[in-house]
Amino acid sequence: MPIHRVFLTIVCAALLALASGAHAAGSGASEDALQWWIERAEQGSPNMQYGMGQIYAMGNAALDVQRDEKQAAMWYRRAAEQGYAEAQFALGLLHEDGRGVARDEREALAWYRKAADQGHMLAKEKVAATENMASVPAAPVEAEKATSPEKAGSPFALTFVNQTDFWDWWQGALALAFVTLAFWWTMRAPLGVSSSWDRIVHWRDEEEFARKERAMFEQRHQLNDAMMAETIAQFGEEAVAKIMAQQRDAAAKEFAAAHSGERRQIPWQAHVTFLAMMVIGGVIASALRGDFQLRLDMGAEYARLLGSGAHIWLVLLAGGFLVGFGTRMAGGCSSGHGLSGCARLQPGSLAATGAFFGMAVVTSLILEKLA
Amino acid sequence: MTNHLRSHIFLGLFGLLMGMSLALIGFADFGEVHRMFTFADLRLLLAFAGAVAIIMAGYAVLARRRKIPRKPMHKGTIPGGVLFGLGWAITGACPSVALVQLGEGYLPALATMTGIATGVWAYRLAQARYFHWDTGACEV
Repeated sequence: MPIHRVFLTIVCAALLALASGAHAAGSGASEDALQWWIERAEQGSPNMQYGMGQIYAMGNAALDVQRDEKQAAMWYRRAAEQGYAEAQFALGLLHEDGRGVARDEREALAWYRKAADQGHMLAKEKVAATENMASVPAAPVEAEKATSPEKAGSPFALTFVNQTDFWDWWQGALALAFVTLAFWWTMRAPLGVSSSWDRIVHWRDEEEFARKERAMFEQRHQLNDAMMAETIAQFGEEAVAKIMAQQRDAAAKEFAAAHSGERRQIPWQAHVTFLAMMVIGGVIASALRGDFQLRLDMGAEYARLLGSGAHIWLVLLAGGFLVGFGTRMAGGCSSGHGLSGCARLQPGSLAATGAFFGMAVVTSLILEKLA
Repeated sequence: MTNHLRSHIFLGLFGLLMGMSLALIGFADFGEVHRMFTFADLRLLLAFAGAVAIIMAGYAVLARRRKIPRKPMHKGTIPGGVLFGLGWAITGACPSVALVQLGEGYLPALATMTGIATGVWAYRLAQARYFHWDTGACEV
């Protein structure tokens, strides 16, 4: 657990550094990253404070930070007091062992209890072990939401204390925006993943088209010569030759422009690389998070809403068909319309995004009702 | 460096960053996506909206130096979006997320990917034979 959180934050800091165009090398970058962290933590974000605790608890060579359990305990406490379960558990551990703080088993148990109340599994085990109980009933997710002070109330509260293993919303926003803008800037085409699918699925058409275009140009060359010869025969050489030569130059230039790669500079094979690297990205991210696992299901929520068993493959196949057909019909997907298009306030994109988001909301609410 | 090699390197890099970002935000987790669509958790929604806001600012700054392509509306825009929305809600996947799901180890995403490829193929056929819409899209 702790290792992957540090990893996540380093990856996130690296992305941010890229996004802001900072490419300071060596110690400068690590100081910046640490500074950036401290600022966020000082501003009161509990998962940043927890992250600071993690960095000090283990020391971090990349950030040039020495191990310092006093500092770790201080940061853990700040996050724990805001109700952050991981930090409560970590602070409990420090109190139990007397590392960085006074050894105090009652204090440790109090923090374990708070974390356990929020559904923290390891904390529950600690509480169970201390109270010498056979088992502690596992708190369902609903109870977790109700007991956590940050999670009670408006859904916005949920959003700002991110208790998932995923990025905070603003980290996600920065990363998505960076990829979209960098893609557009470098490739001279807006990011749109459904059109990559389209190019790959229709690679044969594309090859055929290119072949025909080449063949036509070669024939056009001959055709031009034949026409010129015929015209000269009819109207005399001097008057027409000049004009025809000009026309041929123009045609040659046009062809050169069409084939210099300006018109369609990305070959379809590169789109295969694009999609394949997305799969690799998923592998790396889940390995960093520590939950990579080959599995034949789609997760607990999927099982709750759509069941488990062989039929989910058919549901996914049908759903995938709708995704493929629908995105091409709408002329874009969540990246092409949603990210690239909405940001340009394109009417087609706004309409499409409204349609797919609205439909997805309606469908999800129906699924929830039926479950 | 040839044009082709350059395309492979850049698209490969962007694919990697995109895949990692989507995975780390949680877009490849069906539960997270479902909670976004039912408004039980606004984290993903805010990530998306925040990205759009930043991109908008980015375009405003950068677009002075580069042309921004248009996305006009046509007859297929709304019905296509509706079909996509239905598919997204029951698979948890948009065209990029299906790949990321596979990367995270969810093997049933292969079925989703097969479906997407078939749907993309079927649409071009349907457009050529039956719809004949002018989509106004010259660039792919």
